[in-house]
Amino acid sequence: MGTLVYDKKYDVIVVGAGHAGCEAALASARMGADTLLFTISVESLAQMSCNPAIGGLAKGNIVKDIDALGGEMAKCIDATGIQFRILNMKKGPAVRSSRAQADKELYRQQMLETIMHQEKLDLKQGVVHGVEAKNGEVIGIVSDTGMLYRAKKVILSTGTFLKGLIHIGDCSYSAGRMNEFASIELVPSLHKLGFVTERLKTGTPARLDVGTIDFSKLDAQPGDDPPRPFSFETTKITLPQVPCYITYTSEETHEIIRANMHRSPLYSGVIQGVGPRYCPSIEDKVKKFPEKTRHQIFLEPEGIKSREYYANGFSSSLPIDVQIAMYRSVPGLEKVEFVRPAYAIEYDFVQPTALHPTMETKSVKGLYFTGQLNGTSGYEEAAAQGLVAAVNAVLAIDNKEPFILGRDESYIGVMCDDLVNKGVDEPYRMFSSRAEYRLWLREDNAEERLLKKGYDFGLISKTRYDRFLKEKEVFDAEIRRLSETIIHPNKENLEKLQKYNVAPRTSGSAKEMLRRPEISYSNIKELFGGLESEKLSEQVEIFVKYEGYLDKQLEEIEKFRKLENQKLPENIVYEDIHGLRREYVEKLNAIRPQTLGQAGRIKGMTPAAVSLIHIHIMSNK
Amino acid sequence: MDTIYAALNPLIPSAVIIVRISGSEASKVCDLLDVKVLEDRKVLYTKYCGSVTDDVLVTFFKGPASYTGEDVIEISFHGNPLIIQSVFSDLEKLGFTGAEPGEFTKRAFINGKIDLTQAESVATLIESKTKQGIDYSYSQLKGSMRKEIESIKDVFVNILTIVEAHIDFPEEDIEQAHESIVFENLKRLQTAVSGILLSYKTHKVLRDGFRIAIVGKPNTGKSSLMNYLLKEERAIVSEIAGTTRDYIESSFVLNGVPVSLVDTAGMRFTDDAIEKAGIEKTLALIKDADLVIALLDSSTGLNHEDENVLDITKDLSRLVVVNKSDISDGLAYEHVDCRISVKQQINMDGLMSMFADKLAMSDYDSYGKSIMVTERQKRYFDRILESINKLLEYSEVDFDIFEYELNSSLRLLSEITGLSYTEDILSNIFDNFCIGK
Repeated sequence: MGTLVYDKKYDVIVVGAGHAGCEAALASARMGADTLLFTISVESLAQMSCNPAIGGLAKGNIVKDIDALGGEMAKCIDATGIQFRILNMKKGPAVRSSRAQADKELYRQQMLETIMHQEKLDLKQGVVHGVEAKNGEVIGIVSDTGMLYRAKKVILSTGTFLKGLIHIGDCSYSAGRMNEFASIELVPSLHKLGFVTERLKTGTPARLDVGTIDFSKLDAQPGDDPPRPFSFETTKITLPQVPCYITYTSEETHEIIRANMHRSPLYSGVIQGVGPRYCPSIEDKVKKFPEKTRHQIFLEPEGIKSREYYANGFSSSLPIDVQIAMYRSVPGLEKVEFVRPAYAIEYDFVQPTALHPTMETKSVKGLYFTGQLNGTSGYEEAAAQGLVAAVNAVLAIDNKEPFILGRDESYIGVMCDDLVNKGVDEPYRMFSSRAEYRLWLREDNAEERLLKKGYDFGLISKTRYDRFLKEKEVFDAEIRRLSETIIHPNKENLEKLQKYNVAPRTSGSAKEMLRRPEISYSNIKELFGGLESEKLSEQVEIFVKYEGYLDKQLEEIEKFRKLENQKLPENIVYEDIHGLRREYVEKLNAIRPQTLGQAGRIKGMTPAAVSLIHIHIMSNK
Repeated sequence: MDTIYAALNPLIPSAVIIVRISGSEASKVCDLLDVKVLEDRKVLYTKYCGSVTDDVLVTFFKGPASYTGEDVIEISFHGNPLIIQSVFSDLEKLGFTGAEPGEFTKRAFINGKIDLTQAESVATLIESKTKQGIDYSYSQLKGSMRKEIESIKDVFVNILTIVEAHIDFPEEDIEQAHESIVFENLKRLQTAVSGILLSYKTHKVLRDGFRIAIVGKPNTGKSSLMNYLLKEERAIVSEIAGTTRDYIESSFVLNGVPVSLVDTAGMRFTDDAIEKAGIEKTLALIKDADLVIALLDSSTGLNHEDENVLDITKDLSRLVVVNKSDISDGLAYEHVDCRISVKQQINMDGLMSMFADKLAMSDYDSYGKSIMVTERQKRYFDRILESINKLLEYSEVDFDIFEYELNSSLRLLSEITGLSYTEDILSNIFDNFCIGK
């Protein structure tokens, strides 16, 4: 092995061109590193293996944050989205999340084009057979052609391809995705480097022939009008917008499933991997909630020209005859024909506790893991990890401080921190309830939280950063104006305010007026003037209405940062800490936390143990 | 990790002095005993043969089933401090170190045997000066606070489960009939947390007693009333208005509970600097009191000074009492609680029973069931109650604010005992709702 050596030496090699790999490769090249992206199949680069959608609760925030850091996902979906919606619109700004249906094929093409046009980025098709390391540091990868490609850093984003095993009933076969090679040889190579792999499982529903769906029996679910883009840079959504459809399973569906439960590899014990609780197969749902008479199914178009629909909520590993029968028991699908059946897939992953928060592995310097390889699930989660890994890889080459987002800065920070400290016992998906500081981690202020970082990495253009700074000035000036504009309860003002059922008895600022629940910024604008920009108007309104809560949250963040800023020395010897039990010493040595705050979040760690470490580092200063 | 030792009782000549050893190396003490192996949870009568010799009783608790969670050995020696000094130097030679004060409890805490509230109770159990105090401390040590917090936490988690499910899964057809459950649960929380705060008050009362402040315009008989209650001449009683310039505080016992009585400066609105200062002090004093007696004078009728008195006390727990009812009963004020004459001792028993009612002394009869709340814990519960009340006040509230208040409260609860709860909430969502595409 390794007799053939490719003459070009790369800074960064990315293995796998899914959502993690694409972000990683682009970020690396854009930061000026010579980058090589390896994929098993160029045609399925940036493939949406499961649902044809980007975003959703908390995931939408991640996409916005990727955009503010200079990533590609938001721009790509804006260019190829065929339905945009803001979820939880009426439940408060901090829990709003964007979601879009994608034209899958256009999404792939768009991403491929971006990658092919990117300077300093080479794309190659091939299967990677091994990661090569010397003295605990990565030196490159070996492909199926026997060629060694050398690199300073290697980022693995292998998705479900590592020993992927597809199940449909009692049929099972090796594949990375339906009809694509699995990556088998890479696993022993990882074992050789000391990594332990475990199994996870996920599933995907059938793709249905649009000509066999009776849409007259379904409820249409249109998108928002006008559609609101993900990227702060996108001004307009250009593709035509189409609806999704909703239908429900019936008692008959449940009968069919119950009668055939024994034929599911999930229940017969054939599938060993752990599946996600938030994305259960239909047989799981029927078994777990027997009292529910129906389950909701969303039919989502796979694209504008595509003749296939995705049956969201209907994933299954049951045999094909059962699948067809149960799908046809659903209103609107009586005569449905499958283009592709539903299937379950098992794949290998490595516990992310093997990683630093930079996504670099602890045992092999210069080797980074991202996406499903880390036990996560979701395009957005994967893309974010790809970005974090690539930025850190390039920063490390340049001998710069690592890039670690805090739990108080982004959902991405929450995710990375959860992964490396707690590991996973099911595919990890982002939920807003995982974050502590949600009033601050909103979609609308992503640029305020992160744009400076993206700019410093060279991933955000000066034009964009200047535009942001200018907006910030306008925003600040408007807040000042609102506090300085005093509304007196004179006849003229009272008349103006009458139609909003507001009758102030004393003078107060426009800002105070805006705090009232019955008054919106557009009301203020109408009566006392204001900003034209819709984006800034929204930000002003949220800021004023939530100021009291935000202040409290920022105080909590301050408190949190105190522990977060307590760096633990790299050479700390936990065995030396007086009174620290062996059990904790072992945990600490396994995770090697970088800060005191991180130490506190290790699974099973007690505050008392953390206080002992705190005392220890203080007294050794 | 060190193995530590200490004597459990003072080093003074006594019948027995017990030495406790805790740590992974504790069994090494067998080198000094006429025994090879110790049996878990068995008392052994044997010989100590170190630099002194003594007949001893040895008890072994194998960790983690011990006080500290480590191997613990307790040896009872004859109670001569000199023996113990020699034992200590033998133990040092084995590599053991002397325990810091409270270190056994600290280890119990670090090793997860007890939580913060239980650790706190060890100190109060030892320091309690009354039997009730001992009872409370003991029940706290057994985890009564922890259990109370656990059950409060469960209710919070139930509410959050619903709120978070609606936030994180807007696309799912989760039943919308949850609003009433949320509000019922909030009400339950309000009751539970108010109960804890009442417990705090009970204990504070048992320690400090109640405070009753008497307020009224000059010469209404405040000092006479106070003297009557104290049954001794402590305050100056004079016919000249404004004599009691500052305030006078004394205590008496009512139904077995100490009550401290404050006689405030006369409420005369004047430019006199001394009186002005006195009035400000009065305002502060009455705010602090558990009960305010607004004393009116039957003989003078209601004037603007009385109105002032009634006005500043209107939001407080107060009794409106009319004195000198022997002289005239013509005071026209509809909200009088009690008419008395201190001088003629008319209706004084009625006044006393009103005190007891108004101070809700009967509530404190049930203190045996309540739990001990420390000052530190009280501060947290105050803030939690504030959040609950806020959520109950809002008729329509955004989910993000709801979530914020609930999670803040949960964080405060976990600061009392020291745990984190988000994983619980997520698990609960999966157990209760059918989620997923």
